[in-house]
Amino acid sequence: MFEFLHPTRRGFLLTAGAFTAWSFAPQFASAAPGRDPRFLTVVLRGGMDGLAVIEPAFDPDFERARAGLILGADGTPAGLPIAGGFLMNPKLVALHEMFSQGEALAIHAVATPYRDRSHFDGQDVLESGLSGTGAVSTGWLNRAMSQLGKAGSVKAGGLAIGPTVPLIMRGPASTLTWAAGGVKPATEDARARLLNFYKSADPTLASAFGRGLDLERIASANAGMSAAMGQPGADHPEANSNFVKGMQMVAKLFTDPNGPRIGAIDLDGWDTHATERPEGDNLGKALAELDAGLAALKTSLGPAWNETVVVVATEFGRTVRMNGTEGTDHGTATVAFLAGGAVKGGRVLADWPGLSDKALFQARDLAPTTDLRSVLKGALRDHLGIEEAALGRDVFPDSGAVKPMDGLMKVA
Amino acid sequence: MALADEMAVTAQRRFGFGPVPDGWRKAGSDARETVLLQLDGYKYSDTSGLLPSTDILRELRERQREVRDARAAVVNAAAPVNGAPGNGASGNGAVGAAAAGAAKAPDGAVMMVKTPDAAAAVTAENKEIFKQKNEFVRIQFENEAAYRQQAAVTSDRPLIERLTDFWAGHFCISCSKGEDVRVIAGAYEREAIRPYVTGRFRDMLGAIMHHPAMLYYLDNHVSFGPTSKAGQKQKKGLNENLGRELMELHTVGVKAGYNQTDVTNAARIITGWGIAGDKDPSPGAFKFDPNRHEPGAFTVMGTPFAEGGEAQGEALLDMLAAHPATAQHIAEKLVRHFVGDKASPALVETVAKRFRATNGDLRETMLTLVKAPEAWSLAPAKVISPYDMAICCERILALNTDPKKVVNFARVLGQPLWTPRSPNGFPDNDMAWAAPNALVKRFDYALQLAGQPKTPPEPMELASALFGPALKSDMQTAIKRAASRREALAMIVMSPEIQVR
Repeated sequence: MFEFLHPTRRGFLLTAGAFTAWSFAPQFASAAPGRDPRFLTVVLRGGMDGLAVIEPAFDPDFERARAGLILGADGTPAGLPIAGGFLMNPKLVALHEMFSQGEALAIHAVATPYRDRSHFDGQDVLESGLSGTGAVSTGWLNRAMSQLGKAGSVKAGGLAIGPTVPLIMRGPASTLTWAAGGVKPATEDARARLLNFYKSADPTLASAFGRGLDLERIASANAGMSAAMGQPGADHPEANSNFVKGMQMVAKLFTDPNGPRIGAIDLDGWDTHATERPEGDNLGKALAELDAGLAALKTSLGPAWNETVVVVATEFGRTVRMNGTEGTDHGTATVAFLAGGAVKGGRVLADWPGLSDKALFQARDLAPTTDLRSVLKGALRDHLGIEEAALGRDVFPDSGAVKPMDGLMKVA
Repeated sequence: MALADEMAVTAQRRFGFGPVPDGWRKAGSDARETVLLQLDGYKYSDTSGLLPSTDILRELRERQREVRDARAAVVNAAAPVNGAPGNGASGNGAVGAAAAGAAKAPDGAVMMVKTPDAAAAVTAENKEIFKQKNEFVRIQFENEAAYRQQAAVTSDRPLIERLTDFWAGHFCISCSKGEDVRVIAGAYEREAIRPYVTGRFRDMLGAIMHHPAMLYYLDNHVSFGPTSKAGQKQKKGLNENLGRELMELHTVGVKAGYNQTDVTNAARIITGWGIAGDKDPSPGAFKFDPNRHEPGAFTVMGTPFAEGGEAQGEALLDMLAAHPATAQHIAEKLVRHFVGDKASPALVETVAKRFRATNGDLRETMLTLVKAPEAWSLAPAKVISPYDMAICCERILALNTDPKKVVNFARVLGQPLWTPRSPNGFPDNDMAWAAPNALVKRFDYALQLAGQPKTPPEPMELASALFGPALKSDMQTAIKRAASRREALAMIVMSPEIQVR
C-alpha cells in the first residue's frame, strides 16, 4: 500500500492570473504625475457593417451601391450629420452626443491586416495584434500591459469582462474576470455560510469565493444606480443587457482606487447576413446596445471619463451591396471608434477609397486604406505612454512600418 | 477511518465525475481496481440513434441550397435591374446576388425601385426557409448535447466519459467556425473520438484527420496544392491551418523543434484531404482529391515522404504518431488532466514510456497512469470544469436536467459545449475554472438544481452515502447550519470534495 496524503493544504497561492490583478493600481512611468489613464477595448464580434454605422452620404456612388441599406429611406429615421458629409446611424444617440462634445471620433475604411473572411481568423488577428493568422496564445492588450509593467517596474492588472479571458487579454500580465448572467443569485446569508464552510475546509476556495463576493457586492450596488443614471434609464430596453452591466462594472472598477485601469469587453450580434435593417432589427439592436453601454460607461465613470480612452473595433466589415436576404455578407474595411474624454474627438478620419465598382476591394468590399494597428498604436503611445519601438516589436510584432497615427488624443 | 474508504472517494473524484451514493461501499477494499476495470473490455457502440455526420451534412447542404435558391428568387422577382452592380458573391457558399431595389434610371440618375409584391412574398418565404435551416442545426446540436449528457450521467464507466472529454478537448473543433461544424460537432465526438479512447492513438489521429468536422474547422477542405492541377486552374494555394495544428496541437507539440518548412511541407502533404461535394458519390464524406494534392516528395522533421497521394499523408501521420515528442506531449496532457499541475516529471516520463512501448496504446497508457502511486497520493488541487460540475450534480442529486440548461450553465461559466475559442481547446490547469466570479455563479446554480427534486434526499444521509467514513466534520457542520434542505444540498455540491479533484 502506498502513502496517502490528506488533501488539507494545497501547495499553491492564488497567483494564477485571474485573482491578483486588481489589488494593485497600475502606475505608468511615462504618465505625468497625477494622471491615471484608463483604456478599454470593445471588441464587436461578427463583423460590423461600417457603412451602415457611419454613412458616407457624400459619396456619389453611395445611394446606388447601398440600395436597400440606406438610413432614412422609407420614412425611417435619417442619419445624424457628424463631419465631412458623413452621417451617423441614429441608434447611436449617446455616441453622437460624444461626437458633438468632441469626445469621440471615427476612423473609416479601416481594417486589420487580415484579408480573408473568416470570423474565427479575423478575430484572432484583431486580438493577437499579429500581421496574420497562426497559433498564438497572447493578445496585444496584455502585451501592452506588460510594457507598462516594464516601464514603471510596477505590475499592472487587466480586466476582462466575460466568463473567460478573451485572446486580446491573454498573456503574461494578470487579468481579473467578471461576467454578467447566470441564474437567480443566492442570498447574502447563504453565501456567507458557504464562505464559512470554505474557511474551515479549504482556504484556497475561501479566498477565491470571498473575492467573488466582493465583486458581486460592487456589482449589485452598481445595478441600483442605473435607475438614477439618466441614460440608459431603468425602462430603457438595453438597461438589462449583459453588455451594459459589463460596462457599468468596468466603470466601477476603473474608478476604484485599487482597481484595474486596462480592460476588454466584447459584444456579439454584428453578423447581419439577413434582415440587417440598419435602423432597426438586427444591426439597429446591436447598435442600441453598444450605445447604451457607452452611455452607461461615461455616466458611471464620472470625472474619470476625462482620462479614459475606449477603442471600439470589429474583425472586418461587410459587403457594400445588399445580399438576397436583406443583409450583407463578410467584407473587409469598416469603421472603428475612439471615445472618451481624452480623445480629440468630433472628427471622422478616413483616406476615403470611394464606392464605385472599380474602387471596391475584390469587387465587393469597402477597400481598406488605414491599418487599424496605426490607430491602436497612436492611442497606446499618446494615452498610455508606450514607446513606439515597443509597439512595433512586442505589442504588434513586425509592424515597424505601420506608424502610430498622430493627434488622436487631446494631450499627447 | 479506513484508508480504503478514502481511496474509494478519491477514485471517483479523480477518475470519474465525483462520488455517487454508496459508491465507496461498492468499491470495497480495492478502489484502484474499480478504476482499472473500467478500461477492460470496453468497446463503444453508438446507441444515440442520431444520424452519421455524412447524412447530417447532406441534409444541411440541401437546406443551404434551398436558402440560396430562395435568395436568387428574390432577385428574379424584383423589378428588372438595369445596370445594377454585378453579382458580388464569392466564397463560403454565399450566393447573395446584387441587391434588388435599386436601379439606374435611363438618364443615369439613381432612383429607388419599390419591391413588387411578388418579391415581398418570396422574401417572406425566404426567411422561413432560412429559419428552418437554422432550426435543423439547432435541433441536431441539442440532440447531440442530450446524448452526451445522458452518456456521462448514466455511465457505469465514468472514466470512459472523462477520457472522451479529454480527447475531444485534445482534438477539439469549434462550433464558432460556423454551422457546418456545429451541425456535426456531436457526430464528430461519436465517430472520431469515442471509438478510440481505449484504442490506439494512431487510429484516433487517423479518424479525426478524415472527419469533415476537423477538415472544415481547420480549413483543409479549401487547401490546394499550389502546383496541383486544381490549384493551377483555380489559382488557389495552400492553407496551412491543419498542417500546423496537426504538429503543434495534435501530435509532437510546439517544443518538438520543427520549423516553418516542416509545417508548410506537412500542409502540402495533406492537400487533397477534403470533403466530398454534392456531385460526388457520397457527399459530406471524406474525400481525397488527387487534383488538389500537391505533387512531389517532402521532408518533415528530417523524415522524407515520397509522393504517394493520400498514402503520403498516412505515412506522415505514422511518423508523427510514433515520434517520441508525441508520447511526451500526450503524457504531459493526460497527467495534467487526471492528476494535476503539480504531478512530477517522473510520472509524465513513466506514462510517456508506456505510450512509446505500446505504440500509443491508450488503454495501456491509462492503466499505467492509474496504477501510479502518485496518481493517488497527490492532494486534490484541480477545480473541476463547469461541464463536469453539471454532470456531477446530475449524478449526485439524481436529476434529469434539460440539456439546454446544462449547456447554458457551462456556457455562462466559460465552457460552451464544443465551442472553445481557439484550437488550443479549453484551459486545463488546476485553477483555470476557479475565477472568483465563477465560484459565486456555481453556488447560484447549485441552489437552483438542489430545488429540483420533488422528494429531495435528506442532506446528511446523502453526504453519508457519498463519502461514507471519509465524511468530514466541516461538511457536517455546513449541512447543519444551512437554512434549508435545499441549501444543505447545495453545500454538499459546492464542497471542496466535489469541486476539487
